[in-house]
Amino acid sequence: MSEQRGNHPDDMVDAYLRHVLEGGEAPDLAGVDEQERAELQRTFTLLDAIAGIDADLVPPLEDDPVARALGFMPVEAAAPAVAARREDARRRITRDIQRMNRGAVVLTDEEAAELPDAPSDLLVRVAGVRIRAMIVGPDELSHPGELLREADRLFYRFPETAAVALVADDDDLSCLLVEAQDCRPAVETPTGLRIGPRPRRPRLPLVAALASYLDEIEPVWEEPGTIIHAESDFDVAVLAAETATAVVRRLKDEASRARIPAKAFAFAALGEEEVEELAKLVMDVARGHLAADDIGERISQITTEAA
Amino acid sequence: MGESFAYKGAMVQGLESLLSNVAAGSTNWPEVYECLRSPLWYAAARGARRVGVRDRDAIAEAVQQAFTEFMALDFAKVASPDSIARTIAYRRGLDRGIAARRQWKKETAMATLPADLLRAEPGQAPGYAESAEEEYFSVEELRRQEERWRRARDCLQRLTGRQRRVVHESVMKRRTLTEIGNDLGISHTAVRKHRQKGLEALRQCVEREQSEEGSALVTGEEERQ
Repeated sequence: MSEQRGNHPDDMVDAYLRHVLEGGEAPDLAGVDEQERAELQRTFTLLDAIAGIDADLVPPLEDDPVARALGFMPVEAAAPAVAARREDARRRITRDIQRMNRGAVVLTDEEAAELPDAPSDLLVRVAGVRIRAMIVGPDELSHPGELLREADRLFYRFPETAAVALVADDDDLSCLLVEAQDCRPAVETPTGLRIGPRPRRPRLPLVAALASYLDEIEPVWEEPGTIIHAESDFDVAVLAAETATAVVRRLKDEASRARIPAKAFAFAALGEEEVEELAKLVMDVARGHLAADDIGERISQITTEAA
Repeated sequence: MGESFAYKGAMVQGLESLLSNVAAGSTNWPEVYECLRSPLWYAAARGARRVGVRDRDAIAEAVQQAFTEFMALDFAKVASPDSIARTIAYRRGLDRGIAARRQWKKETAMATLPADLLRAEPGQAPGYAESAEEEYFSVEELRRQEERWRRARDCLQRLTGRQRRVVHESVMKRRTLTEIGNDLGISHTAVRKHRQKGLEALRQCVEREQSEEGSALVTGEEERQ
Protein backbone atom coordinates (compact mmCIF):
# COMPACT_ATOMS: atom_id res chain seq x y z
CA MET A 1 0.00 0.00 0.00
CA SER A 2 2.65 2.43 1.06
CA GLU A 3 4.58 1.84 -2.16
CA GLN A 4 1.68 2.79 -4.42
CA ARG A 5 2.17 5.84 -6.60
CA GLY A 6 1.55 8.98 -4.53
CA ASN A 7 2.00 7.08 -1.29
CA HIS A 8 5.72 6.45 -1.70
CA PRO A 9 7.73 8.09 1.12
CA ASP A 10 9.51 10.28 -1.41
CA ASP A 11 6.21 11.50 -2.85
CA MET A 12 5.10 12.26 0.70
CA VAL A 13 8.24 14.32 1.21
CA ASP A 14 7.50 16.21 -2.02
CA ALA A 15 3.93 16.82 -0.92
CA TYR A 16 5.06 17.99 2.51
CA LEU A 17 7.58 20.40 0.98
CA ARG A 18 4.80 21.84 -1.18
CA HIS A 19 2.63 22.12 1.93
CA VAL A 20 5.31 24.01 3.87
CA LEU A 21 6.52 26.24 1.07
CA GLU A 22 3.55 26.76 -1.17
CA GLY A 23 0.61 26.26 1.15
CA GLY A 24 -0.57 23.03 -0.48
CA GLU A 25 -2.47 20.29 1.33
CA ALA A 26 -0.43 18.32 3.88
CA PRO A 27 -0.07 14.70 2.78
CA ASP A 28 -2.48 12.24 4.34
CA LEU A 29 -0.60 9.57 6.27
CA ALA A 30 -3.71 7.47 6.94
CA GLY A 31 -2.77 4.81 4.39
CA VAL A 32 0.82 4.45 5.55
CA ASP A 33 1.84 1.65 7.92
CA GLU A 34 2.67 2.58 11.49
CA GLN A 35 6.44 2.29 11.39
CA GLU A 36 6.74 4.24 8.16
CA ARG A 37 4.34 6.86 9.43
CA ALA A 38 6.52 7.44 12.49
CA GLU A 39 9.59 7.81 10.26
CA LEU A 40 7.78 10.22 7.98
CA GLN A 41 6.53 12.31 10.87
CA ARG A 42 10.10 12.67 12.15
CA THR A 43 11.22 13.70 8.66
CA PHE A 44 8.38 16.21 8.48
CA THR A 45 9.48 17.70 11.82
CA LEU A 46 12.91 18.26 10.31
CA LEU A 47 11.42 19.69 7.11
CA ASP A 48 9.33 22.13 9.15
CA ALA A 49 12.55 23.54 10.53
CA ILE A 50 14.70 23.61 7.41
CA ALA A 51 12.56 23.72 4.26
CA GLY A 52 13.12 26.94 2.34
CA ILE A 53 15.58 28.26 4.95
CA ASP A 54 19.00 28.43 3.37
CA ALA A 55 21.88 27.00 5.42
CA ASP A 56 23.77 30.19 4.46
CA LEU A 57 20.88 32.41 5.52
CA VAL A 58 22.86 34.36 8.13
CA PRO A 59 25.64 36.19 6.31
CA PRO A 60 29.09 36.61 7.88
CA LEU A 61 29.12 39.70 10.06
CA GLU A 62 31.41 41.61 7.72
CA ASP A 63 28.92 41.09 4.86
CA ASP A 64 25.78 41.54 6.92
CA PRO A 65 23.60 44.16 5.18
CA VAL A 66 21.64 44.81 8.39
CA ALA A 67 24.77 45.47 10.46
CA ARG A 68 25.94 47.78 7.69
CA ALA A 69 22.61 49.59 7.43
CA LEU A 70 22.41 50.07 11.20
CA GLY A 71 25.94 51.48 11.27
CA PHE A 72 27.39 48.64 13.35
CA MET A 73 30.44 48.26 11.14
CA PRO A 74 33.11 50.94 11.08
CA VAL A 75 33.75 52.32 7.62
CA GLU A 76 37.49 51.96 7.18
CA ALA A 77 39.56 53.55 4.49
CA ALA A 78 41.07 50.92 2.24
CA ALA A 79 44.45 50.11 3.69
CA PRO A 80 47.45 50.31 1.37
CA ALA A 81 47.80 46.51 1.51
CA VAL A 82 44.21 46.11 0.30
CA ALA A 83 44.80 48.58 -2.55
CA ALA A 84 47.93 46.68 -3.55
CA ARG A 85 46.03 43.38 -3.58
CA ARG A 86 43.35 44.94 -5.74
CA GLU A 87 45.92 46.22 -8.19
CA ASP A 88 47.52 42.77 -8.28
CA ALA A 89 44.11 41.21 -8.98
CA ARG A 90 43.60 43.68 -11.85
CA ARG A 91 46.92 42.67 -13.35
CA ARG A 92 46.15 38.95 -13.05
CA ILE A 93 42.71 39.40 -14.61
CA THR A 94 44.16 41.37 -17.52
CA ARG A 95 46.89 38.77 -18.08
CA ASP A 96 44.48 35.81 -17.95
CA ILE A 97 42.01 37.42 -20.36
CA GLN A 98 44.71 38.33 -22.84
CA ARG A 99 46.02 34.75 -22.76
CA MET A 100 42.61 33.57 -23.96
CA ASN A 101 43.46 34.77 -27.49
CA ARG A 102 39.95 36.03 -28.12
CA GLY A 103 41.09 39.46 -29.24
CA ALA A 104 39.86 40.96 -25.98
CA VAL A 105 40.84 44.45 -24.97
CA VAL A 106 41.00 45.03 -21.21
CA LEU A 107 40.75 48.63 -20.02
CA THR A 108 40.38 50.39 -16.71
CA ASP A 109 36.71 51.19 -16.39
CA GLU A 110 37.05 54.96 -16.38
CA GLU A 111 33.36 55.69 -17.02
CA ALA A 112 32.32 53.68 -13.98
CA ALA A 113 35.16 55.01 -11.83
CA GLU A 114 33.55 58.47 -11.92
CA LEU A 115 30.38 57.14 -10.28
CA PRO A 116 30.37 56.44 -6.53
CA ASP A 117 28.00 53.47 -6.63
CA ALA A 118 29.24 51.73 -9.77
CA PRO A 119 32.14 49.65 -8.55
CA SER A 120 33.33 48.22 -11.88
CA ASP A 121 37.12 47.84 -12.01
CA LEU A 122 37.75 46.76 -15.57
CA LEU A 123 36.03 46.93 -18.93
CA VAL A 124 36.56 43.97 -21.25
CA ARG A 125 35.73 44.50 -24.93
CA VAL A 126 35.49 41.45 -27.17
CA ALA A 127 34.23 42.15 -30.69
CA GLY A 128 30.95 44.01 -30.05
CA VAL A 129 30.54 42.75 -26.50
CA ARG A 130 31.26 44.78 -23.37
CA ILE A 131 31.79 42.95 -20.11
CA ARG A 132 32.47 44.82 -16.88
CA ALA A 133 34.56 43.15 -14.17
CA MET A 134 34.12 43.83 -10.46
CA ILE A 135 36.85 42.61 -8.11
CA VAL A 136 35.37 41.29 -4.86
CA GLY A 137 36.68 39.73 -1.67
CA PRO A 138 37.57 36.00 -1.66
CA ASP A 139 34.43 34.99 0.30
CA GLU A 140 31.94 37.45 -1.14
CA LEU A 141 30.79 35.19 -3.95
CA SER A 142 29.22 32.83 -1.40
CA HIS A 143 26.68 35.53 -0.55
CA PRO A 144 26.15 37.36 -3.82
CA GLY A 145 22.98 39.27 -2.81
CA GLU A 146 24.64 42.66 -2.36
CA LEU A 147 26.92 42.06 -5.37
CA LEU A 148 23.92 41.40 -7.59
CA ARG A 149 22.40 44.71 -6.51
CA GLU A 150 25.64 46.49 -7.39
CA ALA A 151 25.78 44.67 -10.73
CA ASP A 152 22.17 45.66 -11.36
CA ARG A 153 23.12 49.32 -10.88
CA LEU A 154 25.85 48.85 -13.48
CA PHE A 155 23.35 47.44 -15.99
CA TYR A 156 21.09 50.46 -15.47
CA ARG A 157 23.92 52.97 -15.68
CA PHE A 158 25.52 51.31 -18.68
CA PRO A 159 22.83 49.52 -20.70
CA GLU A 160 25.37 48.46 -23.31
CA THR A 161 26.93 46.11 -20.72
CA ALA A 162 26.31 42.52 -21.82
CA ALA A 163 27.47 40.90 -18.59
CA VAL A 164 29.21 41.66 -15.31
CA ALA A 165 31.98 39.36 -14.13
CA LEU A 166 32.17 39.23 -10.33
CA VAL A 167 35.77 38.15 -9.85
CA ALA A 168 36.98 37.00 -6.43
CA ASP A 169 40.45 38.03 -5.45
CA ASP A 170 41.55 34.44 -4.77
CA ASP A 171 44.14 32.12 -6.29
CA ASP A 172 41.86 30.89 -9.08
CA LEU A 173 40.21 34.26 -9.70
CA SER A 174 36.84 32.53 -9.16
CA CYS A 175 34.19 34.23 -11.20
CA LEU A 176 30.44 34.48 -11.23
CA LEU A 177 29.27 35.87 -14.55
CA VAL A 178 25.87 37.51 -14.38
CA GLU A 179 23.57 39.07 -16.92
CA ALA A 180 20.93 41.74 -16.26
CA GLN A 181 18.12 39.21 -15.80
CA ASP A 182 20.09 37.43 -13.02
CA CYS A 183 20.11 40.61 -10.95
CA ARG A 184 16.35 41.20 -10.84
CA PRO A 185 13.43 39.40 -9.20
CA ALA A 186 11.69 36.83 -11.32
CA VAL A 187 8.66 34.58 -11.30
CA GLU A 188 9.63 31.00 -10.64
CA THR A 189 8.03 28.23 -12.65
CA PRO A 190 6.04 26.12 -12.05
CA THR A 191 5.20 27.52 -8.59
CA GLY A 192 4.53 31.06 -9.81
CA LEU A 193 6.29 32.43 -6.73
CA ARG A 194 8.36 35.57 -6.91
CA ILE A 195 11.99 34.81 -6.22
CA GLY A 196 14.82 37.21 -5.59
CA PRO A 197 17.77 37.79 -7.89
CA ARG A 198 20.11 34.83 -8.25
CA PRO A 199 22.93 33.89 -10.60
CA ARG A 200 22.20 31.18 -13.17
CA ARG A 201 25.73 30.37 -14.17
CA PRO A 202 28.05 28.32 -11.97
CA ARG A 203 31.04 29.78 -10.20
CA LEU A 204 34.12 29.00 -12.31
CA PRO A 205 37.71 30.21 -12.69
CA LEU A 206 37.70 33.48 -14.65
CA VAL A 207 39.03 32.08 -17.91
CA ALA A 208 36.56 29.17 -17.96
CA ALA A 209 33.62 31.42 -17.07
CA LEU A 210 34.47 33.95 -19.79
CA ALA A 211 35.22 31.29 -22.41
CA SER A 212 31.92 29.56 -21.71
CA TYR A 213 30.02 32.85 -21.98
CA LEU A 214 31.80 34.02 -25.12
CA ASP A 215 31.38 30.63 -26.81
CA GLU A 216 27.67 31.10 -26.29
CA ILE A 217 27.35 34.61 -27.66
CA GLU A 218 30.40 35.05 -29.92
CA PRO A 219 31.36 31.64 -31.35
CA VAL A 220 34.85 31.48 -32.75
CA TRP A 221 35.60 29.80 -36.09
CA GLU A 222 38.97 28.20 -35.53
CA GLU A 223 41.49 28.19 -38.35
CA PRO A 224 43.35 24.90 -38.70
CA GLY A 225 46.95 25.33 -37.58
CA THR A 226 48.31 23.74 -40.78
CA ILE A 227 47.14 26.64 -42.96
CA ILE A 228 48.64 29.26 -40.68
CA HIS A 229 52.07 27.67 -40.79
CA ALA A 230 52.05 26.35 -44.37
CA GLU A 231 54.81 28.04 -46.33
CA SER A 232 54.49 26.06 -49.57
CA ASP A 233 51.67 24.38 -51.48
CA PHE A 234 49.62 21.89 -49.57
CA ASP A 235 47.13 19.20 -50.45
CA VAL A 236 43.59 20.35 -49.63
CA ALA A 237 42.31 16.77 -49.43
CA VAL A 238 44.96 15.78 -46.87
CA LEU A 239 44.44 18.94 -44.86
CA ALA A 240 40.65 18.49 -44.90
CA ALA A 241 40.97 14.89 -43.71
CA GLU A 242 43.48 15.80 -40.98
CA THR A 243 41.34 18.68 -39.72
CA ALA A 244 38.15 16.62 -39.74
CA THR A 245 39.91 13.80 -37.87
CA ALA A 246 41.26 16.25 -35.28
CA VAL A 247 37.86 17.89 -34.74
CA VAL A 248 36.06 14.56 -34.36
CA ARG A 249 38.77 13.26 -32.02
CA ARG A 250 38.49 16.38 -29.86
CA LEU A 251 34.71 16.00 -29.61
CA LYS A 252 35.08 12.31 -28.71
CA ASP A 253 37.50 13.32 -25.93
CA GLU A 254 34.94 15.79 -24.65
CA ALA A 255 32.39 12.99 -24.33
CA SER A 256 33.87 11.85 -21.02
CA ARG A 257 33.59 15.36 -19.58
CA ALA A 258 30.11 16.22 -20.86
CA ARG A 259 27.66 16.78 -18.02
CA ILE A 260 24.52 16.16 -20.03
CA PRO A 261 24.12 12.42 -20.75
CA ALA A 262 22.67 12.98 -24.24
CA LYS A 263 25.64 15.15 -25.17
CA ALA A 264 28.11 12.57 -23.85
CA PHE A 265 26.36 9.84 -25.84
CA ALA A 266 26.29 11.92 -29.03
CA PHE A 267 29.99 12.86 -28.82
CA ALA A 268 31.05 9.31 -28.05
CA ALA A 269 29.16 8.00 -31.08
CA LEU A 270 31.13 10.15 -33.56
CA GLY A 271 33.51 8.21 -35.80
CA GLU A 272 35.01 7.61 -39.23
CA GLU A 273 31.76 8.25 -41.03
CA GLU A 274 31.58 11.82 -39.74
CA VAL A 275 35.28 12.37 -40.58
CA GLU A 276 34.61 11.29 -44.16
CA GLU A 277 31.50 13.44 -44.49
CA LEU A 278 33.27 16.55 -43.15
CA ALA A 279 36.30 16.04 -45.41
CA LYS A 280 33.99 15.48 -48.39
CA LEU A 281 32.17 18.72 -47.56
CA VAL A 282 35.44 20.67 -47.66
CA MET A 283 36.50 19.02 -50.93
CA ASP A 284 33.13 19.75 -52.55
CA VAL A 285 33.51 23.41 -51.63
CA ALA A 286 37.11 23.50 -52.85
CA ARG A 287 36.18 21.90 -56.19
CA GLY A 288 33.20 24.18 -56.64
CA HIS A 289 30.65 21.38 -56.40
CA LEU A 290 28.93 23.01 -53.49
CA ALA A 291 27.80 26.65 -53.46
CA ALA A 292 28.35 28.76 -50.31
CA ASP A 293 24.60 29.06 -49.81
CA ASP A 294 24.23 25.28 -49.68
CA ILE A 295 26.89 24.65 -47.02
CA GLY A 296 24.44 25.16 -44.15
CA GLU A 297 22.01 22.69 -45.67
CA ARG A 298 24.75 20.07 -46.14
CA ILE A 299 25.90 20.50 -42.51
CA SER A 300 22.32 20.11 -41.40
CA GLN A 301 22.05 16.93 -43.47
CA ILE A 302 25.26 15.54 -41.94
CA THR A 303 24.07 16.21 -38.39
CA THR A 304 20.67 14.66 -39.12
CA GLU A 305 22.30 11.52 -40.46
CA ALA A 306 24.69 11.36 -37.51
CA ALA A 307 21.75 11.65 -35.12
CA MET B 1 26.98 19.43 19.78
CA GLY B 2 29.26 21.60 21.92
CA GLU B 3 28.63 24.63 19.79
CA SER B 4 24.90 24.29 20.12
CA PHE B 5 24.99 23.90 23.90
CA ALA B 6 27.47 26.73 24.33
CA TYR B 7 25.52 28.90 21.93
CA LYS B 8 22.28 28.59 23.89
CA GLY B 9 23.84 29.45 27.27
CA ALA B 10 26.05 32.19 25.91
CA MET B 11 23.21 33.73 23.96
CA VAL B 12 20.80 34.08 26.87
CA GLN B 13 23.42 35.03 29.48
CA GLY B 14 25.26 37.34 27.12
CA LEU B 15 22.06 39.06 26.10
CA GLU B 16 20.92 39.63 29.67
CA SER B 17 24.30 41.02 30.58
CA LEU B 18 24.42 43.27 27.51
CA LEU B 19 20.93 44.62 28.11
CA SER B 20 21.51 45.34 31.80
CA ASN B 21 22.93 48.75 30.86
CA VAL B 22 20.05 49.98 28.73
CA ALA B 23 18.75 52.34 31.40
CA ALA B 24 22.20 53.88 31.79
CA GLY B 25 22.32 54.45 28.04
CA SER B 26 25.59 52.58 27.59
CA THR B 27 24.31 49.54 25.75
CA ASN B 28 26.62 48.10 23.13
CA TRP B 29 24.00 47.56 20.42
CA PRO B 30 26.40 46.05 17.86
CA GLU B 31 27.17 43.29 20.36
CA VAL B 32 23.48 42.81 21.11
CA TYR B 33 22.83 42.46 17.40
CA GLU B 34 25.67 39.99 17.03
CA CYS B 35 24.19 37.96 19.85
CA LEU B 36 20.73 37.96 18.25
CA ARG B 37 21.70 37.65 14.60
CA SER B 38 20.91 34.00 14.11
CA PRO B 39 17.51 34.05 15.93
CA LEU B 40 16.47 37.24 14.12
CA TRP B 41 17.39 36.02 10.64
CA TYR B 42 15.81 32.63 11.21
CA ALA B 43 12.58 34.06 12.65
CA ALA B 44 12.27 36.61 9.83
CA ALA B 45 12.90 33.92 7.21
CA ARG B 46 10.22 31.76 8.83
CA GLY B 47 7.76 34.65 8.78
CA ALA B 48 8.43 35.31 5.10
CA ARG B 49 8.28 31.58 4.32
CA ARG B 50 4.85 31.47 5.93
CA VAL B 51 3.57 33.46 2.95
CA GLY B 52 5.75 31.73 0.37
CA VAL B 53 8.48 34.37 0.10
CA ARG B 54 12.17 33.48 0.28
CA ASP B 55 13.58 36.74 -1.04
CA ARG B 56 16.77 37.47 0.91
CA ASP B 57 16.31 41.22 0.53
CA ALA B 58 12.84 41.08 2.05
CA ILE B 59 14.23 39.02 4.95
CA ALA B 60 17.10 41.47 5.50
CA GLU B 61 14.62 44.36 5.59
CA ALA B 62 12.51 42.47 8.13
CA VAL B 63 15.56 41.82 10.34
CA GLN B 64 16.56 45.47 10.20
CA GLN B 65 13.08 46.65 11.06
CA ALA B 66 12.74 44.09 13.86
CA PHE B 67 16.04 45.03 15.47
CA THR B 68 15.19 48.73 15.25
CA GLU B 69 11.92 48.01 17.09
CA PHE B 70 13.76 45.81 19.58
CA MET B 71 16.17 48.63 20.46
CA ALA B 72 13.20 50.87 21.33
CA LEU B 73 11.73 48.43 23.87
CA ASP B 74 11.51 49.18 27.57
CA PHE B 75 13.68 46.34 28.84
CA ALA B 76 12.63 46.89 32.46
CA LYS B 77 9.29 45.37 31.44
CA VAL B 78 10.62 42.61 29.18
CA ALA B 79 11.01 39.20 30.82
CA SER B 80 12.59 37.31 27.94
CA PRO B 81 14.34 39.60 25.42
CA ASP B 82 15.34 36.83 23.04
CA SER B 83 11.74 35.58 22.84
CA ILE B 84 10.40 39.02 22.07
CA ALA B 85 13.15 39.58 19.50
CA ARG B 86 12.13 36.35 17.75
CA THR B 87 8.45 37.29 17.87
CA ILE B 88 9.04 40.73 16.37
CA ALA B 89 11.30 39.33 13.65
CA TYR B 90 8.74 36.66 12.74
CA ARG B 91 6.00 39.31 12.44
CA ARG B 92 8.18 41.62 10.39
CA GLY B 93 9.13 38.70 8.15
CA LEU B 94 5.44 38.06 7.64
CA ASP B 95 4.84 41.77 6.88
CA ARG B 96 7.69 42.01 4.41
CA GLY B 97 6.68 38.74 2.78
CA ILE B 98 3.10 39.79 2.24
CA ALA B 99 4.11 43.27 1.13
CA ALA B 100 6.53 41.75 -1.36
CA ARG B 101 3.81 39.46 -2.72
CA ARG B 102 1.31 42.31 -3.01
CA GLN B 103 3.85 44.44 -4.77
CA TRP B 104 4.68 41.53 -7.05
CA LYS B 105 1.03 41.05 -7.99
CA LYS B 106 0.70 44.73 -8.86
CA GLU B 107 3.69 44.75 -11.17
CA THR B 108 2.92 43.57 -14.64
CA ALA B 109 6.10 44.75 -16.26
CA MET B 110 8.38 43.79 -13.40
CA ALA B 111 11.20 42.61 -15.62
CA THR B 112 11.74 46.14 -16.89
CA LEU B 113 11.76 47.79 -13.47
CA PRO B 114 14.65 48.19 -11.03
CA ALA B 115 14.73 45.68 -8.19
CA ASP B 116 14.33 48.47 -5.64
CA LEU B 117 10.91 49.36 -6.99
CA LEU B 118 9.69 45.81 -6.55
CA ARG B 119 10.35 45.68 -2.83
CA ALA B 120 8.06 47.01 -0.16
CA GLU B 121 8.97 50.32 1.40
CA PRO B 122 10.37 50.16 4.96
CA GLY B 123 7.73 51.22 7.45
CA GLN B 124 4.87 50.05 5.27
CA ALA B 125 1.87 48.92 7.33
CA PRO B 126 1.40 45.17 7.82
CA GLY B 127 -0.19 43.76 4.73
CA TYR B 128 -1.57 40.53 6.11
CA ALA B 129 -5.14 40.03 7.21
CA GLU B 130 -6.14 40.16 10.86
CA SER B 131 -6.68 36.41 10.80
CA ALA B 132 -2.98 35.90 10.05
CA GLU B 133 -2.05 38.20 12.94
CA GLU B 134 -4.25 36.19 15.27
CA GLU B 135 -2.98 32.86 13.96
CA TYR B 136 -1.46 30.54 16.55
CA PHE B 137 2.20 31.29 16.97
CA SER B 138 4.53 29.70 19.50
CA VAL B 139 7.86 31.35 20.07
CA GLU B 140 9.01 28.24 21.96
CA GLU B 141 8.30 26.11 18.89
CA LEU B 142 10.16 28.66 16.76
CA ARG B 143 13.14 28.44 19.14
CA ARG B 144 13.12 24.63 18.92
CA GLN B 145 12.97 24.77 15.14
CA GLU B 146 15.85 27.22 14.99
CA GLU B 147 17.85 24.77 17.10
CA ARG B 148 16.98 21.99 14.65
CA TRP B 149 17.93 24.18 11.69
CA ARG B 150 21.30 25.05 13.23
CA ARG B 151 21.95 21.38 14.00
CA ALA B 152 20.93 20.45 10.46
CA ARG B 153 23.33 23.09 9.14
CA ASP B 154 26.19 21.49 11.09
CA CYS B 155 25.08 17.97 10.20
CA LEU B 156 25.07 18.82 6.48
CA GLN B 157 28.87 18.75 6.64
CA ARG B 158 28.74 15.08 7.56
CA LEU B 159 26.81 14.00 4.48
CA THR B 160 28.52 12.92 1.27
CA GLY B 161 29.24 15.74 -1.18
CA ARG B 162 26.35 14.83 -3.48
CA GLN B 163 23.86 14.31 -0.65
CA ARG B 164 24.87 17.61 0.94
CA ARG B 165 24.45 19.50 -2.30
CA VAL B 166 21.14 17.88 -3.21
CA VAL B 167 19.57 18.33 0.26
CA HIS B 168 20.85 21.89 0.58
CA GLU B 169 19.68 22.97 -2.84
CA SER B 170 16.43 21.02 -3.14
CA VAL B 171 15.12 21.39 0.41
CA MET B 172 16.76 24.50 1.83
CA LYS B 173 17.11 26.56 -1.34
CA ARG B 174 14.16 24.92 -3.10
CA ARG B 175 15.74 24.43 -6.50
CA THR B 176 14.02 21.83 -8.64
CA LEU B 177 15.44 18.33 -8.87
CA THR B 178 15.75 18.76 -12.64
CA GLU B 179 17.88 21.90 -12.25
CA ILE B 180 20.14 20.14 -9.77
CA GLY B 181 20.34 17.07 -12.01
CA ASN B 182 21.41 19.23 -14.95
CA ASP B 183 24.13 20.84 -12.85
CA LEU B 184 25.43 17.50 -11.60
CA GLY B 185 24.99 15.70 -14.91
CA ILE B 186 22.75 13.04 -13.35
CA SER B 187 19.14 12.06 -13.84
CA HIS B 188 16.13 13.36 -11.94
CA THR B 189 15.69 9.90 -10.38
CA ALA B 190 19.27 9.82 -9.15
CA VAL B 191 18.81 13.26 -7.56
CA ARG B 192 15.69 11.97 -5.78
CA LYS B 193 17.66 9.03 -4.40
CA HIS B 194 20.41 11.34 -3.14
CA ARG B 195 17.77 13.53 -1.51
CA GLN B 196 16.07 10.57 0.13
CA LYS B 197 19.31 9.16 1.56
CA GLY B 198 20.60 12.61 2.47
CA LEU B 199 17.43 13.53 4.35
CA GLU B 200 17.50 10.23 6.20
CA ALA B 201 21.14 10.75 7.25
CA LEU B 202 20.47 14.36 8.18
CA ARG B 203 17.48 13.45 10.33
CA GLN B 204 19.43 10.76 12.16
CA CYS B 205 22.33 13.14 12.77
CA VAL B 206 20.04 15.91 14.08
CA GLU B 207 18.19 13.48 16.37
CA ARG B 208 21.48 12.04 17.66
CA GLU B 209 22.82 15.52 18.44
CA GLN B 210 19.56 16.43 20.11
CA SER B 211 19.62 13.39 22.39
CA GLU B 212 23.32 13.90 23.18
CA GLU B 213 22.64 17.49 24.13
CA GLY B 214 19.74 16.35 26.29
CA SER B 215 22.09 14.00 28.17
CA ALA B 216 24.68 16.76 28.54
CA LEU B 217 22.06 19.05 30.06
CA VAL B 218 20.98 16.37 32.54
CA THR B 219 24.61 15.65 33.51
CA GLY B 220 25.23 19.38 34.02
CA GLU B 221 22.19 19.62 36.28
CA GLU B 222 23.33 16.62 38.31
CA GLU B 223 26.82 18.04 38.74
CA ARG B 224 25.40 21.34 39.96
CA GLN B 225 23.17 19.52 42.45
